[in-house]
This record gives sequence, C-alpha cells and structure tokens, in this order.
Amino acid sequence: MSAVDRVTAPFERFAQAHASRMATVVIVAVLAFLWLPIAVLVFMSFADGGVLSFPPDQLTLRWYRVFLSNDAALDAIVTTLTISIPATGISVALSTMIAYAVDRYVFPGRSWLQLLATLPIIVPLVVTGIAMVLFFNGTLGLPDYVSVVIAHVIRTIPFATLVILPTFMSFDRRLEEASKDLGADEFETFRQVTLPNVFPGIVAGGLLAFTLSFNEFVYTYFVKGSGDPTLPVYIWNQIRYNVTPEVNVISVVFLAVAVSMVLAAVSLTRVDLIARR
Amino acid sequence: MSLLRVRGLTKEFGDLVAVDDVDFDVADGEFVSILGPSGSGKSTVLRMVAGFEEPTEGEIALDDVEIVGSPPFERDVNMVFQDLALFPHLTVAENIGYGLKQSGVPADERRERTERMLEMVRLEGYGDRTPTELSGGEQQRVALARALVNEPALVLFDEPLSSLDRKLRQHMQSELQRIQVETETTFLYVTHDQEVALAVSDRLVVLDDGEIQQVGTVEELYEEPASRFVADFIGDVNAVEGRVTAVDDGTIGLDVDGGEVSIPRDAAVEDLAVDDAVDVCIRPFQVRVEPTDVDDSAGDALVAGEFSTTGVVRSRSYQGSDSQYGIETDRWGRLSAEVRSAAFDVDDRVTVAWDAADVHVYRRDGEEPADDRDGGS
Amino acid sequence: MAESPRSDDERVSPSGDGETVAGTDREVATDGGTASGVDGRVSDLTTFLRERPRLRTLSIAGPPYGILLFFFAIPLLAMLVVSFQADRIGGAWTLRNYTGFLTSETYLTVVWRTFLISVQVTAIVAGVGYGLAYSIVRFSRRTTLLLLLVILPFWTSYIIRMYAWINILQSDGVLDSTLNLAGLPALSLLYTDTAVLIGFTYVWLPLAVLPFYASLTNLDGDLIEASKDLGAGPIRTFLSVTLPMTINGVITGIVLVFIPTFGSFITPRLLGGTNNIMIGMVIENQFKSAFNWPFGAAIGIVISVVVVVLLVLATRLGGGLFGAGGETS
Repeated sequence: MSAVDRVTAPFERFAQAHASRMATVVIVAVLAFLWLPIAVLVFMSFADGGVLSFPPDQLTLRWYRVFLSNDAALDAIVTTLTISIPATGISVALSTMIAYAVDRYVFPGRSWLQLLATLPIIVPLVVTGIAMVLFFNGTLGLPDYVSVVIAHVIRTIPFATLVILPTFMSFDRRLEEASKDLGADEFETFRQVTLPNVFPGIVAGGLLAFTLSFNEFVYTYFVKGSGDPTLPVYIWNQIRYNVTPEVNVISVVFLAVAVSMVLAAVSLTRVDLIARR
Repeated sequence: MSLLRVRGLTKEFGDLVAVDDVDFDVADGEFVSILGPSGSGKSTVLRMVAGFEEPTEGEIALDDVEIVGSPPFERDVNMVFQDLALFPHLTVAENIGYGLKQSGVPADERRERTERMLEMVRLEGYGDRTPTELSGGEQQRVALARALVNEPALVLFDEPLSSLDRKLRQHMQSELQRIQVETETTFLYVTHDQEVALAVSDRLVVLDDGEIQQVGTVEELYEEPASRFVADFIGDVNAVEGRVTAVDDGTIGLDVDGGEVSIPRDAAVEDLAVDDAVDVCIRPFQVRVEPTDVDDSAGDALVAGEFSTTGVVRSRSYQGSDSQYGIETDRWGRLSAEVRSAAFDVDDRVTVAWDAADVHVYRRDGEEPADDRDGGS
Repeated sequence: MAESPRSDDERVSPSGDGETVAGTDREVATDGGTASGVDGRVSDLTTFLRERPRLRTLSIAGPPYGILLFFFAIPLLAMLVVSFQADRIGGAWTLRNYTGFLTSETYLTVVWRTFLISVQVTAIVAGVGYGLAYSIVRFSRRTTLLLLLVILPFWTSYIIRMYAWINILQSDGVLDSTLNLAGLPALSLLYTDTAVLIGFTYVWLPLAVLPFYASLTNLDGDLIEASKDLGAGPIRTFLSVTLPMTINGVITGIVLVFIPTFGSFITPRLLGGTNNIMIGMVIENQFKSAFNWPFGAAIGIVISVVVVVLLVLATRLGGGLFGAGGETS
C-alpha cells in the first residue's frame, strides 16, 4: 500500500459505507432548495398582511378576489393567450416538419437545419431579442402582434423539436412498410399509421411549447412595443415598480399552468424525452 | 406455371453488391425458402419483391407481369415482417382488416373475412385485444392473418419465426404448412435457419454473398450439395483437407493427411487438376462406426465402393436418439460420426467406414491452383 | 391465380394491376376522375410527390428552414450590420460603437464582472447539479419522479422564480423573519451579489441536471463495479471512471449554464444592487431607456463573440451540443 493510499483509504471506506446516505441528503437538500421558494410563494398568496409581513397574521382569499376583479391582469392573460395559442400551433407544425424531414430524408443542408432548430436555445435571449426588434420593427416594420407571435415561434421551435424529433426517431418505420405492403399509399400510411403513433409526442411538444410561450418574457419584452402587456411583462412591471400581494396570486396562476401542462406532457411521453439535453 | 419469376436481379448499395445476378422461379402453390447466412442478401431479395427496394438491375415478374417500379401498395404481394410490425394503436381485428380497408372492402364484409381469418389461425375471440396483449406465438398468427386476408398471390416471410423458442417455432412451422395448404397460397420464406427451411419448404434457394449457390429440393441440396458452402450450410459435414495427386478416367487420387486414397471421379462436381487443394466432404450420419481390435493403419482402401479406416474415439456426446463421436482416424484426420449406438467410449479403438458414393470433393475456396503458389515460393 | 382483391376496387388507381407505376402527370390527372373527392386529390398529390423526391423534401423541410433563416438567422446578421451604424438604424457607417465600448473602463469592468459571476454560477451549478444527478442515478429507485420534481420548476416563469426569492431574501422577508424567530441576526441579502448567485443557481440548476443525468444514465453501471472489483475505492472510481466517461454531459451542462448567465439581465435587475451591473443590463438600457440601438447591437455582437468562443472550446473538448435529438446530450 502506497503512502497516498494510506491517506485516502479511510475516506474511500467512508464513502463506500455512507454513499447511499449522502445521496439521500443531497437529493432532499436540493429538492428543498428548488421547492421551498415555490411553497413560500403559494403560502404568501393567502397571507393577509401583503408582501412585507412574514409570518402573516392570518390567511385570506382576498388577493384572489382582487386579482379576479383586476381588469389589467385579466387582459394580460387574454393578450398572452392570443399570442401563445397561434404561436404554439405554428411552432408544432414547423417542428413536426423539421422532425419528419430530419428523420426521413437526407438532403443538403440537413445538419444546418438541425443546427438552426437548436441555436435559439444557445444564443442568449437578450441577443436574439434585440436582433429581432432591430429586424422586425426596425427593418421590416412588422405590426407588434405579428412580431411577437414570430418571436414566440422561434423561441418554442427548439423545445418542441427536442420532444417531437425523438418521437419520430423511435417510431418503428417497418410499421409504415407494413401499411404500404397492405395497400395504403404514402398519405394514407401517414394518416392511419404514422400520425396515430407519433401523436402523443406531438401533443407533448405542443404542451411544452405552450408553457414556454405562456412564460416567455425576454423576446416579448424587446419586440413588443408599449401596447397591452403579456402576463409576464405585466408582472415584470408590477415587480419593478409597485409590488402588490396580487403578484403572489399571479405567480400561483403561472405555477398551475406550468405544472398541469408539464404533467400532461409527461403522461403522454416518457419523462426522459423532456429530460434530454 | 411460374408465379414469380426473378431474372438477373442485382442490387448495389454504393460499392457493395448485396444481390448479384440472381435467377429463380416460384411456382403457383409452392413453398420456397431463400436460405443464407446473415448478410447474404436474402432479405434484400425479399424486399425487392415486396417493393421496398428498387433493384439496380433485373426483372421481377408476378403472374407474368413485370412489377419492378410499382410501389409496394400496388403489388399483389403481402409480407410477414421479421419483427411482425403489428400496428400497436390498432386492435387485432383492425390489424387484420387494415389491408381490406385500404382496398375499400365494406365494413361488414371486412368483419366477416377478419373473423374467418381469426378462425383460420385459431385466434377466435381475440379480435378486440391489442397486439401487446398477445404472446409471441399469437402475434405471429395475427401477422400471418393480416397478410393472408388480402388473398395475395404471394406471401413473403422475412424470418418471422426467428424470435421464438425452439418448441414454439416447430409448432408454428407445422401451422404454416397447414395454412399454406388450406389457403392454397404461394409462400416465399427467407431464413438463415436451415432447420426451419428444411422442415417447411418444397424447394430451397441457397444464397451466399449475394449469389445463388444452389436451387433445389431439400433432398437434392442435402444429398448433392453443389458446393462446399451448401454442404456446410445444409446440415453438418466432415471436411478433410486434401490435395489431388492423380486424375484419370474413373478415379481421382488424393493425398489426405499424409495418406493416399482414391475416390470415384463423379464425387467431384467440378473439374479438378493435379495439385489442386480440395475438401473431401462426408456427412457425419453417413459414417459408420464398428468395434475393432486391429491396428490397421495400412488398410485405407476403397473396397467394394466403401472406405474404411481405423481410429480412436476422442470425444462423444449424446444427441437424443443418436450419439456423436469425434474420432481421430489414422488416415483421414479427425472425423465426426453420428450413429445410433452409444456403445463406444473415449479411447476405444474403432473401425470407421462409409460409402464412396457419399463422398463429395470440392476445390478449396479462394485458393489459387497449386503451381501458382509453388512458383511464388 | 386468384385475382387480387385490390384490383376490383375503384379507389385504387388503374395501375393497381401492377403493370406500371402511375407515371406521368397526365395519368395522375385521369386517375383523379375515378377517385373519390378529397382523398382522391390527396392521393394524386402523393403520387405526384413520390416521383419528385426533391420536391417532396423541399415541401417538408423548406418552410421551417425558411422561417428559421429569415426570422432568426437574418436578424442576427442584421444586428451585425446595425452595430456598424451611428446612433440609429441606417445611420452613417462607423466603428465608434465598438471603439467606444472597448476603450471604456466602465464597460470593460462590467464585462469582467459579468464573466466572474458567470464562472461562479457555473461552478456552483455544475457541482450541485452533478451531485444531484449522480445521487439520483446511482442511489435512487424513483428516478422518474425525482427527475420530474427537478425539472418542473424550470417550466414555470423565470420572473416568478426570481420573485419568489425577493419574497425570501428581502429585509424582513421570509429568511430574515425565520432567522429572527431563531434569535439570529438578519442578513438582508436582497440586492447583493449573494442574492444574484442564489437566483442564478436556482434557475439554472434544473437545466444543468438534465445533461448530467443523461450522461450518467448512459454510463454502464458494470464499469463502476469493475473498477471497485479491481481495487479502486468509490472516490478513485469516480475520478478515474465515472467523471471521464460523463465529461461530455458535464461540458454540455456547463455551456447551458454559462451562456445564458453571461447574457442575463433579469436576475441582476431584480435581485442585484444598483452598482452591480451585468452586461445584459447595459443592452437592456440601450433599448429601453437610452435608445441607442446600434450601440446595443454592438454589445450584442460582443456577447455573441464570447458565446462563439466558448462553444468552439466546448466542441473541441467534446461536448455533444449539436447532436440534436437522437443522441443523448
């Protein structure tokens, strides 16, 4: 046994003996770190005294009532939905086409297409955001609404593709051969065999795209002019200029949307599809 | 009348020639197997018949009509896929009715024909299940029914039984034969498993390296293999290396493991010249083993059309009703013999004998004629 | 031989007898007459495209390709162009935006500060995230549930997640009140660098766990047992087997954390102090209050250069960042 080994041996033995316990400690600690702030947020939305008093004197639904009678906040939700719903539809359609093309065809520029569909994740949001405002508003002079929808499409394509592409790749293409062998042409095969089998993945991609678009802030913040804010922009203004307890309620709304969407997406695919990368 | 006619069929993938100038016919109502090791191109042949691959060259005619170039869904051919490819999102009945639906058969007729097919493959009452709820053997039956219900001219099989265990496979083999006879359909079956191929086929097409090695009935292939490859691939064979020492009208002289033997001329399927390196092949089940106490190292003689030599038993293994012996012979190297008797032990001295008519001699693969090699050294 | 059941069905084109491929456009047109309605027209289109594989590929890959090029790649190029213009879009050509930025000690200090914070955040997230992924993969049986609990926060709004920390960190907030109840002094962490580090760690941790998790899952557990069997303890095994074999996942995670931190403005704006500026906030200022777009574009280009350098480095080191889709991490 070398000198180094003699020094390290006790540590090695300790690690071997207590590895499992240490792992449990790490998991519990990190999950607490991730979820406690959210728990506090939900809890505070029922707090009577507002933002600045912890622990609260008593619990109340008052802020929910304030939120529900606040037209500005409700308008922001409507504004967000009028952007997110079409953006999600377009994004899912385009991502499905990307997945189909990349999975099925070999064509010049195929790897460029894949790169282009991944890059929006990598380029810092603020960089793309200002590039879009320069080009959409500055150069093209697009209406605000169109600019924002396009921005949301670009933002969500990489994530939707990330979910939809593996669905196509794991689809057994011999099923298509079997279908053609049994007399169905390409279109009928796509309609009757391919689509039913990849549909859960496409829906999951759509749910995640919607969640992302519903939460999207940076692109919207730059591209959208001073008109009706989306909910994230609205809440940003609230936090920056006049924090009210209502923000806690809106946070719960965001939380509910995200949790239900992601859980639905997960139940449709496997969690590791979303976990990729 | 030949239902399927394949002529000059060639498929190249880049530089790789997967299928090389293949000709064969399948008659109406026949059960033909394409047999070959993996990578021999057999599946490619099948996929070209089905329409999933376009041949580089050659013709495929079904019922005297050229079908190369027409898409799979327009060919009167249905396939049972290797992994079955049952539609996971459809029920068993919907799987079977899929082809009928594509050709616009009305729903009630579809239902009736599907029911009949389920009966045929003995899966009555399984129509509403999904494929994943079935066992491997049941899934095979669904795949078969799905192909047969369309009453195609030809059913193709891409090794569908290879995933089953031995017992189930043997059962499915006999089911296949029964169904083929009942439906009077023509089957073209691709496999690497000679046991399956020998059991079910009327005729076999042996493929190696993209080229046809031999086409014939099971008996022809077994008893008169056209090449060392076929001899090896169809059943077991003893191959003893040798060198041609003399060729005359009736016999060929061979130097085998140091000893001189002579064999009938017609044991060789090809012309041989002096100094050619050859394999002398004999089937283990054609080798007889008898007890002896003679040390007969000189007695390698062809007497009355029969070879005999002496040797020592080196290994033995029971194979059910037969026993297989590994025997170190005095003149023919190590031979394996399959006999009914279990009477011999390791180290026993025995006499080994076989009919000269059962011997086949092939020139060794890939070896240059002897004088070239000598010139080099 | 019995006739094919297909050939007497009218939905299948006359070429159903296998005689020809339904070849020319003319044949397609006549087929359409016998076929029924929309289905017929669609199947004509399918036949039409089958014989023109290039057109088929173009019709599927073309639209997304075009949209990504026109609305994502071109704007980035436009930003490059604008960064060489003075004061406004279409202004006179100039290098002033760059020279001004690169000779200003204030801005260079901001870049350096941003870099330091990004490095700290990346180190913390990589350490904690890898530890978490390792603990889940090697020691837990409920991996799916745990992974779900880790990623769920990632899908809620970034701003909301920052806001949650405002609740906790502000003076007399949740943290200080709790400390107070325990008889400890208040920390008043909000608007400090510590708050910024906590905020970044909080948002990027789920993101980094994913590639770590993927690469650790792909690692064959037998290798670890083989190493231990051959006499290496768990620590040495980790350093000589596990870590080297998951290094691609580690690099991917590092890139995924470093880049967005470097470009961020939300977290320092909401959690950081007024004198702790990061480079993303300078850009935000140019577009939201100073209105010097070309100067903002130039800073955007500076960030992009940093990002590209980092990506090249990561690719050299073997991160599988662009192996989109099929491969893990």
